[in-house]
Amino acid sequence: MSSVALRDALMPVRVLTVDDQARFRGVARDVIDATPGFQSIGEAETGEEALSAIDRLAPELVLLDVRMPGLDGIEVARRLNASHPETLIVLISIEDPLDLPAAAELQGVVPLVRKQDFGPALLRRLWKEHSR
Amino acid sequence: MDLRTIPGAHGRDPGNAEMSSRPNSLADAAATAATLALCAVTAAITIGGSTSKYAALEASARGLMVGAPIAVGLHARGLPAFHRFGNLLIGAGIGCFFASFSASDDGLIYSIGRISGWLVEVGLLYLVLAFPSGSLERVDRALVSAIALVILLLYLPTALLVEHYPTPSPWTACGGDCPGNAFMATDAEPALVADLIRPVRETLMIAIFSAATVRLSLRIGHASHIVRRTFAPVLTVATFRLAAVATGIATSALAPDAAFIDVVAWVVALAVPVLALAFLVGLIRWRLFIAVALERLALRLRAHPGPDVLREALAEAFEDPSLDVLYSLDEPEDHWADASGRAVDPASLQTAACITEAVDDGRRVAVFIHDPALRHDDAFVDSATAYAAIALDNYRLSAQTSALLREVHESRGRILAAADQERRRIEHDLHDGAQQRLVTLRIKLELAAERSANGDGRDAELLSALGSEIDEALDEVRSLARGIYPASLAARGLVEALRAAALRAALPTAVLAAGIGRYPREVESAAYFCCLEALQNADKHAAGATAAVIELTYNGALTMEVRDDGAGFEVASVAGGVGFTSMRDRLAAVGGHLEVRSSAGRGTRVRAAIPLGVDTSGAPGTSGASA
Repeated sequence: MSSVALRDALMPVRVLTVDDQARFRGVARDVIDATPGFQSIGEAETGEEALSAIDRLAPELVLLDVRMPGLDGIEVARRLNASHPETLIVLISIEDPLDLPAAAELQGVVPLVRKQDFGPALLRRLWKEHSR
Repeated sequence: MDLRTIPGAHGRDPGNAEMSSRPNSLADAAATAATLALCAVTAAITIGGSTSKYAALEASARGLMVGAPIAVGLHARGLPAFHRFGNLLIGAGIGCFFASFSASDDGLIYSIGRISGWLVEVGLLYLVLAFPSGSLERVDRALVSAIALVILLLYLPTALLVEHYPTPSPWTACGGDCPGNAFMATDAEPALVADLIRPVRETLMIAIFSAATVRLSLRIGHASHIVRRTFAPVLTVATFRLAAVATGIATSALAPDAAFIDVVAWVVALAVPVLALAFLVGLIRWRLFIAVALERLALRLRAHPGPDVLREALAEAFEDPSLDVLYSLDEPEDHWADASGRAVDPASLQTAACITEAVDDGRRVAVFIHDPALRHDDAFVDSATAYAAIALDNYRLSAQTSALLREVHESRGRILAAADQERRRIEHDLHDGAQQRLVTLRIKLELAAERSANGDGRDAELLSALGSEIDEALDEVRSLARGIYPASLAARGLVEALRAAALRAALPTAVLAAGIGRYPREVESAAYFCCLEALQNADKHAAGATAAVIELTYNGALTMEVRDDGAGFEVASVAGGVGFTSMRDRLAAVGGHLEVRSSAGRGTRVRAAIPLGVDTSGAPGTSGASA
């Protein structure tokens, strides 16, 4: 086994998925499982659940859907940015980023990706850029 | 509370009132002749019985005492409102005629006259207290009953017992040489009469007259403006006469020989024709007042009056500030409303001063609450009823129109709200359904592509191609959803949605919004789609435009302005187009309006304003309602 593979097996990146859509949570789990070096440690359905799950599970990477009832993803991202600066937060949206001007203030600080672009390649790229 | 139903202008009931007001010259001539005859008889009797050199003068005075009440009574009788009083006055005049027999020197005639003189006092008191209606209130009835009892029990029986009737009397000038009592049934006058009966009855008379005086004085004091102005002379003269009678009785009891008593007697006597004159003055003043009031009313209400105008005009014309008109509406049943349309509880009518019902064509039109003095005047009631019927029709029409308008407004609002809801539902379904499926499919393809990258390259290529197709499909669906109802509008509000729209617009567009919060759903929706339409117009049609601005302000009303610096267009020719019409409709449904200004070379300005009561600003980030 290569050192990379070993490291991936021993210290996978812990990922928390937050989305009110069960379908996406399912496929996200598939993607994470299919990506070496990443492990899905939990899921949350709402923003509030996400905040308590993050405190409980301490993930390294949080996939946050923007459009959720109650506390939406952007608000959660803002709060997490303040309280857990070491956690990588990724905002995921079905909408075009252009349609979310409110996310503009988080630009550069929190990456915003399109849901349809989500996949192993994106996952790896995001983590790599963050670790830098 | 006095309640009466009278026929209105449309359904006039030809009752007694009508007949008595029609002049009948034959009856008039006969009445006049009879009156003159009576006066002549009185004068003759007076002259015959008088020994003084002023006999002619006395005869004229006594004739006047008979003639004046009858004449005024005849006149009053002809007026529907004073018919009853007129009859009473005539009766009193006839009573005075018989009382004038006291001037005779014939014992029998004299005696009849003296007895009549007593009885007349009851009649005169009745008249004075019953003016102008001819009917008595409870307290007054008690007073009249009291005096009747005194006359009946303490005066009349003495006609059988006394030798001479007491002097002085207003009905005769004979002092010491009056004829004897022709009805004396006993041989001698019992001492009882002089010792007991006379003092008692005189005291009682003084008491009754004093009470009546007080009562009348209070009436003048408490009288409403109308009453005071027209009936003051009557009340003054009547009070004066009552006081004089009381004084006369008291003086004759205490100082029987004073010459002053004769003066008082003549004053009391002449007060009768003066009283009749005062009645006449009062009647004339009243008729004048009504005539002037009706004239003022007619001038004021030339056009079709509304209920509030009618109330004001009536109150002003009849100088009754307390006047009010209540209208009876058909629905809900027995529903009463005042001039301004407010519902009135029928129970409160119980305490009103005086109420007259107005009936027109068999249906109850209105109810007038007014000064009691007005209730007897048919002229007032008829004219007021006729106007009230018109006003009520107006009121009904305008109420109906308002109700219809309200209904139209509401249904419009409902239609638009339903349409918006449908849009949101469709967008939501697209988002949760089609888009999510496509996204999931896309991700799965990506996974499959990655997996198969280890195997046959062509599989990977095929999968990637499929992935691109889906990307395009997603773009299309997203665009569709956005056009139907932008997600950001519901979730983040007007400004966010417009900013997003501005970013996608062909023209560089700036969004200026200060102090704009969240507003009711239908308002944000109307505002958004209006601005979007205006922006799209600018993108498509503003030739040579370099930029556009969307400006939002809130100042009690939400105002939006979309400006561009294009070539402008002819507003009149485009104003009726589908785009502008739908903008106007959407705005109108939320109470807003549209203004479009454009001039060649100066660009275009589309301005919409929606008045709002309350600003429901919400903090950003908390999603209000995600459908």
